[in-house]
Amino acid sequence: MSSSEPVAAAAAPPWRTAPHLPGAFRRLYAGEMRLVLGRRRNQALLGVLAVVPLVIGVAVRLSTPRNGDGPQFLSQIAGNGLFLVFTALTVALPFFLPLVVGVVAGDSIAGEAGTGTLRYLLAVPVTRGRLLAVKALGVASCTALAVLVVALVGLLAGAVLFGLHDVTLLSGDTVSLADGLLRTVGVVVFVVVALFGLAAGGLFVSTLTENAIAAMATTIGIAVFSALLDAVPELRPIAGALLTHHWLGFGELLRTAPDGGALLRWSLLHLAYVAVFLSLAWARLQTKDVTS
Amino acid sequence: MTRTRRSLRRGIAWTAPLATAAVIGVAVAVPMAASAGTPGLAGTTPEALLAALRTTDVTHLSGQVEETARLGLPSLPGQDDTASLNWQTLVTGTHTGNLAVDGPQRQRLALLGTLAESDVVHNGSDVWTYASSTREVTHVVLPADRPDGAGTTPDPGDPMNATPLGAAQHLLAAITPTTGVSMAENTRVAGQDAYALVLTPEDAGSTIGRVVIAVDATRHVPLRVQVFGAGAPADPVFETGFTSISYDRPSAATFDFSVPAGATVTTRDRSTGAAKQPNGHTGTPAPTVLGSGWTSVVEFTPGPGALAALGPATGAQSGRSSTELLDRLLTVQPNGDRLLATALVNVLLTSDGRVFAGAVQPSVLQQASATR
Repeated sequence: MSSSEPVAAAAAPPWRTAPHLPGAFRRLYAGEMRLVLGRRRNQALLGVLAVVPLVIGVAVRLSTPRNGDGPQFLSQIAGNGLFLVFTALTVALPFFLPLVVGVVAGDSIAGEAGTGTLRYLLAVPVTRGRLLAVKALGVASCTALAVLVVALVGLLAGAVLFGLHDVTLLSGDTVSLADGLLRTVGVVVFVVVALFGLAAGGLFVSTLTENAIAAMATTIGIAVFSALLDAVPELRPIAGALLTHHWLGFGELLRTAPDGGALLRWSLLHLAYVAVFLSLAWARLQTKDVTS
Repeated sequence: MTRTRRSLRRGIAWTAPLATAAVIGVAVAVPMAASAGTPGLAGTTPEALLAALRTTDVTHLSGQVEETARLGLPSLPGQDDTASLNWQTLVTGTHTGNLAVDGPQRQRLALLGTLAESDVVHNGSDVWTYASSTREVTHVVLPADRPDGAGTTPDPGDPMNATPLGAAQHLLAAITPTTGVSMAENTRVAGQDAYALVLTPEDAGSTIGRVVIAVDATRHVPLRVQVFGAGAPADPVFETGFTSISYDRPSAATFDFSVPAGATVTTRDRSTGAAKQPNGHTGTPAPTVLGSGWTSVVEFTPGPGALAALGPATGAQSGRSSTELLDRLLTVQPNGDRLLATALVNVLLTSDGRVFAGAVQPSVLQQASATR
């Protein structure tokens, strides 16, 4: 291999030898984010996410639920608006958040290929690896943004409708509001990392096809299928390795003594999915014939 | 030429995901392999181990416990909430809990569910329970002279029974002179080297084939208890063991409990003159233990409400109620008694409203009900 390298360098197309201008990657990323966030579809989806905590908050305000009713934490919202964040995340995690992640990630490469802009992107001085990195960063940012929208709207609505108070943990112990807010930050970070696994899966699926809709549907399908497998009792032994199994594991942060080891293990599992899917996406993009 | 170079480059590109998967596989497999295997330990006799188990000087520990029951019962309604403290929850499926013990007066058991938790906190003369899903608190005040609960009849519904410590305590109490005691291959539980002590009831009346207790090799704490049925010896019908353990003293704050805002509190004061009501059900006579050893039977008379719940389905409840399920499980005996048979515990409901239960063959229960 080494002897043929000079030949390869000499024969390499200009985008292989072009120097990386400082800030080029940042500009590429900024362009990507402008594109993604400028889409009406994506703005509408973020709007739907913002509505989730609002609807729950208003509903609880109008009729106080009894203990044990509805989704987890629902009965606690009336006493402490902070729980609106957790309820909204619990409600949004099975479908709404995967929907947003699926649409953004599925569209990332396949959308460009479908509209014929992928080869123009590759014609500018940027390698396929760097293009994938920008796309991955863009999808990751949107994933984080989606979770933040749910959490921040939940926090604001909760604060306005019910006020924020000391937090009763799952263990029955009460901690200060500051401690509770710190735990909420931890919950948001955990959920974002958990969704990264699905986002990376979507990015890989997106490199497989030129049909963006198919890639989006497949990505959401991954989340639904994983949740289905999780519900089959016979698959209990492998359930712990499923993509979606530990998504609600953020509850660990709401115990008096969170099991740091478990949280780390689950997050590493999600990051392992990221590593596998990203390397698959990279290999696929490297070997793909980009014709459109 | 370019074709082969190109296909070579393609091949190299695809090794990246393979390498990634391989690295993750190794990272998962190596710790698993390290914790497997049988540790070489100094030889000991079952009798010495039994004595050491009974006189262990470990008074405080904390760790995570996993309990699995395969009694052959269908999933009962409400068991989805894996953090419930009800016995209905603990007799089916697998449950995880955090246990902290600091002497006989201070224990805390937290049953963990997804976004839910149930806690039992015993601190001195107070026993608190809290369920996050219903936000219900019960507060039991124990007699001041017996804050460790000593001398009271064991409560079959006590969730502590589902921990290795509680289960081992009950099983060791059942040992009779005819019980076979032997050793099995050394094992490793929760990262600790352990001896495996085997108890064989050798009693035709018992439904227990054998019991295997994994005992910490240096501290002599029961780390895991496995109960194998007399009929199907392959899988344990009941298993509870530590998945992690620490012998450090838990912080004192672990055992503090203050009623959270918005919780409903039920108080049962047993501090005065009510020592004969260990299970806390007011107006219910305490259970009586008949016989001893492996074939001991618990007799109790449930309140009228509880009996109705065990009787034929009245159709008052819709859906898959526990009543209907229990009704399907109960078999009516020739004399009108009803029998609930599981892989480990059998329960006999006599026609006059008494209940006999134990890890014994149905004939033992019938004998017990006939002689009472």
